[in-house]
Amino acid sequence: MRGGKMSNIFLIARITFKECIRNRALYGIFLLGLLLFTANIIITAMFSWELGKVAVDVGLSVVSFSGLIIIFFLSINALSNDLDRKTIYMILSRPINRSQYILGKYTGLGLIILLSSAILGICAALSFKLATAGHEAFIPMHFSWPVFFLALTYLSLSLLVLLAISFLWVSITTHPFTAVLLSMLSYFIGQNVENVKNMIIKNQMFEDNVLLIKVTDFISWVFPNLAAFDLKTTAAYGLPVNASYLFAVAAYGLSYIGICLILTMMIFQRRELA
Amino acid sequence: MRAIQFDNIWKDFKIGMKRTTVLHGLSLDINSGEIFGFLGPNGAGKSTAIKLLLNFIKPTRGTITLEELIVGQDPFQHLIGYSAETPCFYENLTGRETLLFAGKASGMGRGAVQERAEDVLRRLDLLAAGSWPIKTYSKGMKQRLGLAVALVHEPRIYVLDEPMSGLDPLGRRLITDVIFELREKGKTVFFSSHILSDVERLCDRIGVLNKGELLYCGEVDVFSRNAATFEDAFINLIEGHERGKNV
Repeated sequence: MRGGKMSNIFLIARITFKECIRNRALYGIFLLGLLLFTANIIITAMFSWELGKVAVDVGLSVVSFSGLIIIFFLSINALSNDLDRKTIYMILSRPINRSQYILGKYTGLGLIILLSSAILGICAALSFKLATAGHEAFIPMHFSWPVFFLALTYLSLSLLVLLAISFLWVSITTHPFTAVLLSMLSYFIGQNVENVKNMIIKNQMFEDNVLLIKVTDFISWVFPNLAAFDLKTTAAYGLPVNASYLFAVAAYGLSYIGICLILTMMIFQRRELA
Repeated sequence: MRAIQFDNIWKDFKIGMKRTTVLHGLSLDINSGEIFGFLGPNGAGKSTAIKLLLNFIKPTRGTITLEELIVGQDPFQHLIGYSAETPCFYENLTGRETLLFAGKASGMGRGAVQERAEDVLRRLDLLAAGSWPIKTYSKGMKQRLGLAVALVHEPRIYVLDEPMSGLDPLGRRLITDVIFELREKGKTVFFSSHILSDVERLCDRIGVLNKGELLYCGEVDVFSRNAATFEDAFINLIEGHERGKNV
């Protein structure tokens, strides 16, 4: 006999990963990614200046774009389908509790995102190599591959944060479409919240509007600051990396994932699976 | 010994602004080793009772126990094998992979579950299809796989929601034989069905539910004693209850 919480989480992660990796839609996303990398080589050729910067920017943006599609259209569906089509009955009629189910599902889908980032990240590196081949003079002087892969890692972490938020939305809403919309909205706010906050706080026009400043501050806490994970510019120019900043962002991301998953589990415990 | 006990179960659902009661104080005892049929027309509350039994939903009032374990408080899932009315699986997995998952999740070791999965696939005539993705299965094959998932870890109690639904006569015969085998092994089977002839043939006792109220609970023979057929007895009971409600 075997048992244990971890092995249950691992079992669910494994079937989730297998189910997703055999989904044809995933191959469609990979194909789209590869097409965009080809486009990267063509687009980059149009820029005589900053060739390296554009190649890195476009390459990492394609990885991010593909990850977003996986979250919005594959991951949310995978979780919602379990609830709508009652596949979850097969799982929860076993000695597996609802929290283990959520953690297992998140691990499985998280692994899909990491795998996608790894494959497309290598493609991004190759497309950078091809785009800049013969134009070495246009590669930024301090460009380094470790920083490039560091940017890829933080991009993947931001996708994992968004995946955790999408889990929370699926647990709150009853319709997958609503969960997709709310996840997209969270991404949009997350990408811009820091800029908007700075704009409002630094603008003299809003100096006396305490309520607006407080609301903006609150929103910046509730929604994830996804822009903080964006190291594309750092990677493209090979700028120096601040270790304490990286540590703080990683801790922030992991905490955010933890909080979202705890809330999801709490809501899911109470949910009626009728 | 009692295998399953529903003790004064009430269940309300909120539909829009309205509260609807779908189970009215259901009390039911199912003994160990018996085959118990749960009957009732559509919307009677059978599936709701089964979902409560499996802790998918929570009762508004009342307690359900499985061999002294309280549903919703104690871990009880190791005791049961469950097959849904329309079993849904991960369609890209194979039948064999699904059974391996089900067995391991129920605490079986890898070697034991592999051996048992082959036995169950063979018994349910799915051995050749075991390595196919489930998306290629017919409705009947999925129904049989649903039963295989319930059987794989050899629990003491089986909860089968409409196990004959969507099956051809051969498939129905197969499921009937499997249920008889479970009785021979001393297992408890609690199943809901619309197919009265199967219920009459298979069950030791039955419970008849209509509009969330238990109208009869007892021996099959006693149920049909004052009617020409089992079906007549069932229809008379439901119609009598409906008339009483409408008066």
